[in-house]
Amino acid sequence: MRPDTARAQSIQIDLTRAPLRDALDYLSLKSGVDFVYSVRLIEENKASCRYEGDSFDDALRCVLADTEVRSIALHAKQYVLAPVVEPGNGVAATGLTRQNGQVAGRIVDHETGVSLAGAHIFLFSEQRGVTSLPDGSFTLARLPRGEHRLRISYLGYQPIDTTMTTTARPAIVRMRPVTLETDGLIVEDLSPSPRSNLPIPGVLAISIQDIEAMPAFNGENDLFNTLQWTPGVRKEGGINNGLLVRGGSTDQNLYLLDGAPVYHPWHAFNLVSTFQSDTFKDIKLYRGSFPSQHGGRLSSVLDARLKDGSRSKPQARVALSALSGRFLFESPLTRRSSFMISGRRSYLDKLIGREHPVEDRSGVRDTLRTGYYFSDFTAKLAYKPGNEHRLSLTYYSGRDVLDLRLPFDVSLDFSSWLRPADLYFELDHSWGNRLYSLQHTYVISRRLLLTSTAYRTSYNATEGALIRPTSSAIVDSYYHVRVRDFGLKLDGDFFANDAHHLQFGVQGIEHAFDSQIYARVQRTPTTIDTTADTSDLHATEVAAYLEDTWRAGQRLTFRPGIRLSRFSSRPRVYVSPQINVEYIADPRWLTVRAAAGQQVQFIQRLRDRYSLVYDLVSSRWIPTSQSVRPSTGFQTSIEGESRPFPWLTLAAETYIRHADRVLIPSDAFQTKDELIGPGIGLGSLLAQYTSGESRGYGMEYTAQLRRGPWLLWLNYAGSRALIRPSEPENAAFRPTDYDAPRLFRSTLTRFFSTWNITLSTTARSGYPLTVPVARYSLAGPTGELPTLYLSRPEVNNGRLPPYVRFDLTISNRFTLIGAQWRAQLHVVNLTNRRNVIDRVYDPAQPVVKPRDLRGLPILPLFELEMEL
Amino acid sequence: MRTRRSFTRSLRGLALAILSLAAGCDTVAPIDEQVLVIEGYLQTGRALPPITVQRGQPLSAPLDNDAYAISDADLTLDLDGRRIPYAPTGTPGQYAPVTDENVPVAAYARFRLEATWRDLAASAAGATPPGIRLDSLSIHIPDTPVDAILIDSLRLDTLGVGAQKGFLYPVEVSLWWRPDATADSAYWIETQLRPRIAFSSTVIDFFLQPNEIRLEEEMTRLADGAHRWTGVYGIPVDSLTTPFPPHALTVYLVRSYEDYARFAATRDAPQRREPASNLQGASGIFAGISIDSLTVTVDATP
Repeated sequence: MRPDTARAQSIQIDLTRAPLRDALDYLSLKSGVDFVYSVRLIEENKASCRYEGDSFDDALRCVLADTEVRSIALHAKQYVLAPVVEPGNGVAATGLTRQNGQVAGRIVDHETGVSLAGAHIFLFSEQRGVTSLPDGSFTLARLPRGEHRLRISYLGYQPIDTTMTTTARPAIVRMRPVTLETDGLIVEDLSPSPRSNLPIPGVLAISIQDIEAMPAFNGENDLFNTLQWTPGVRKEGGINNGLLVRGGSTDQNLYLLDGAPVYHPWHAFNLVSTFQSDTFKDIKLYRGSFPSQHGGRLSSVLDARLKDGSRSKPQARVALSALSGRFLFESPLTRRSSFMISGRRSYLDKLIGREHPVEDRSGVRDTLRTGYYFSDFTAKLAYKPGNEHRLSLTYYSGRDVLDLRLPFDVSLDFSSWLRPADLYFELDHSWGNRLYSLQHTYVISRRLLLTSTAYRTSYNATEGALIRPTSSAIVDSYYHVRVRDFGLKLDGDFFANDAHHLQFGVQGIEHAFDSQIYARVQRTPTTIDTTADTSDLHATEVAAYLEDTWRAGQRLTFRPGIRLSRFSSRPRVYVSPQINVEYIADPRWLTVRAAAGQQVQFIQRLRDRYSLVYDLVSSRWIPTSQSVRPSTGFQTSIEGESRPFPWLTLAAETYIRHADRVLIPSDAFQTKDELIGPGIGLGSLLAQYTSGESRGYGMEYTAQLRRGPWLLWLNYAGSRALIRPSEPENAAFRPTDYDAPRLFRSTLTRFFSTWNITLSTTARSGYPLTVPVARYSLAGPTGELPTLYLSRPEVNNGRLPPYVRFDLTISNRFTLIGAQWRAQLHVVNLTNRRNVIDRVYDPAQPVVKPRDLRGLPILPLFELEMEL
Repeated sequence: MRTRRSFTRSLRGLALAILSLAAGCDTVAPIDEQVLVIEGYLQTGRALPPITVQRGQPLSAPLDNDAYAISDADLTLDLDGRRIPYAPTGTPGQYAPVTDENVPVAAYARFRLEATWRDLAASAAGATPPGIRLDSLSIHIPDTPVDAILIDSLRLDTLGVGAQKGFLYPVEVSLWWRPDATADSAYWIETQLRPRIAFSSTVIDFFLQPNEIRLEEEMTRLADGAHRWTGVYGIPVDSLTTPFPPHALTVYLVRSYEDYARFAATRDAPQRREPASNLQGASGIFAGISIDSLTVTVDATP
């Protein structure tokens, strides 16, 4: 029985010996139908056809009329193209049982032609599968000759159930990004799981569609914002912090962009990530257990890969959100090369103006400044000189600039302060990352593939301040901090046989950390303190790893690995073993994954906890040295996943993690309340911290339901994150500042023809709070009046009230002046619940009652995107 | 109809159950605990000091110092091997040494204080620093006041910071003193300029610096070996033409070890924290210090 006929827009074809591939691409574009075919088959054929109408079947028949290609409809949206079989030829005969056949192919993005690495190809008849290589290719060998039914799945793409014939000709499989509405047809057979196909527990693969579906607190779809909706991931508050993954500290995450690390992946004081969501091809977040290829951090690895650029046709996209405007353009350059460029810039400074010339009645003039913006620019050039080589060059640059000159009495009432200011403060801050990455993939043989990467990455921050609180006092400071890495990596993949996939590699990184401070504090014209200091540190980190993905049977996969690393300042080699196991008890009902592994971290991020003029928006990375030993961590986890129905995925994971020699602030109550701290020397900084250990454990449950027009995502995590400083000796473990024993998140999306509506919920335990238990007075030695204090014998001994928030996102797609538009309205805190975000106590009150500081009220934000 | 209502009710119950499971009431209410608080300063060259003992007062009741003073604690001071018991003086919470000796506390004396009250025990140990003497002092008063911003907090967590513009005389005070012959790198110096005039602006103090606590060896040292420290305090006035208001100024110079220095450096933010204590089992401070002070009248008239 023939499947439903695909509906198509009006089709006009007028071809004379045109490449068949172009004709098929055109038909695919018009109808939304996927074709699965062998490249050689299609390239050998030309199409000559003249057709005008709206019947896809007739159009396809016309295109294939004079070719040696026939079509087989799998269902309404997918056709396999095969050679025309002559009677008696037997090429496509089935049922032959010799075990020397193989199916091979390459998986690419339907729209962009970008190779899809890590796609899962599952062979139903043999109950086994493989994942595609970095160039998208795959091979399933030792098969009975004949036809085989396969399922090809990749997160963020529509899975393909197809039939392939054992042949030496590799097929090109074009996968379509998941589009829930295609010409009114609702696609139901979607993989609802964001979980990776890797045999590693806790790995999340994030698609652009996931990012777009999530509510955006800042009015802009953002990768880090999306990650916060996944179990075990949260954002730490503050202006220069970051993501917390399963209770690890923010510096325990490694952010990789095309293989190169990014040290400070945040814009806008921690509000949005420096990564522009629609530039990504592939994003994986390893929470806790990560492949031996990655190392140097204890908590997580975010491995993001940029798009190579469209191989089929130029595409452009521009968008405007409440925060920024952005563009993306991608296009083929030649048959073998393509590029992608994108840029983004916030525009608040353009709206309110960066400079404000003012004049008072006496004719005094001044120029106040209210400049803040962030920007980033990404470019990638991909070149494929042949089937064996692939070359890509990535450039990324992101920057935040804060330029203020304001009087102290700044307020929302502009008329009160928009005048010449003789007492003022000026801030001239800028910070950002720059990255170059050159990557070459060489397919030496069908079994061996080498990828070499060279990169240069840097983080620069400058903090300048000029403060004039009285007409005779001036603080003038300049602070600069910089991290530079130059790295070389050689990674290999060796497919020894169907059972063993070996990954190996060597890596070397040259780190340079430098900072300088110059501060002049004039208290009166004759009382002046000057501070000048520099710090310049260098270190080399080398590592080698070996990992084997061993498919021990149809259901059992082991992935043992080992990483050896050495840091120039330490005398020994650190060994980081890993083991991952996957057991498919039942492909539908239960897949179990478990992992255990050890990690070592040689650099840590610290901030001066005293000074208000430096390390304010930046922070310093310090390398392991004779006095600072590297942090080591151990984590074990086990995950069970079930897909009882095609539209439902259930997963549960439990983990335990422990880290030693992490740096913890010595004084939990110390905040930046001094003008100049003890200096930027390493000793001064380390004196503010003490070594300690951290511990975390938890259970994470995920349910994802995607059926018809509905998408429901439920996450619940019960977890603890605890730390214990090494001093005093008898110190007990205490909750970290962002420990939340219970965290529930959900998103419910309803897809209409052009509208999407998403309702999101966040409900969690309140964050820890240090609650005073009593009060007392002390007079001091000089006979002053007694001062009242609150007794706080324990840090984080209490909690804020639970935090509950509902967000709403309404999205509409429409066509206007020849372009595709998407308008989004994000309503943050829909119920206007003013959550308690902090609580303060005043000991001088007659009766000490807490005063609550509350979060933002309801906040509507918009985003508009246009695609050409 | 009834079925529908019971279904709705069940649904509501389920939602409540899920919510309470997800974001359950895990707030920890503060619990009033017994907190022992001890305060005393062993001053080099002075007689044995009184010691005050109190317990923490509940947050939920108005202050009542007498009710929470402890008058039945056991206090013993061990000073260079001599055990000196302390007894209540009659003033609530205050204890004095029970000894016939009236010998000044020597420099470099090692001490250990032990206190018990009911089932609570506390102790502190340390040493007394060498004496300190303020050699000289100079004061510089500007001819005219300066413009100044008057603001209580630099924390710009709200755009309405309530800053006001005013005027003040920044008074510059320099102190000179001699280091101890032992030149121990562990000595800390606390300097304080305390004008007898009602004025408080955290931010102005922040920029002017009327107090400082630093390691003595890091302080400015002159060619003759003396240390010098210069601080500035502000005297607010109404206008640029207001003459300088004469007032009394007390200058304090305190030498200590790290235990007192940590206490002194952390006692100025009572809303955020309590001062770092050197006592095991109690809050407060019992440390050795040496102190010198001078009160002068500051007047612009020659």
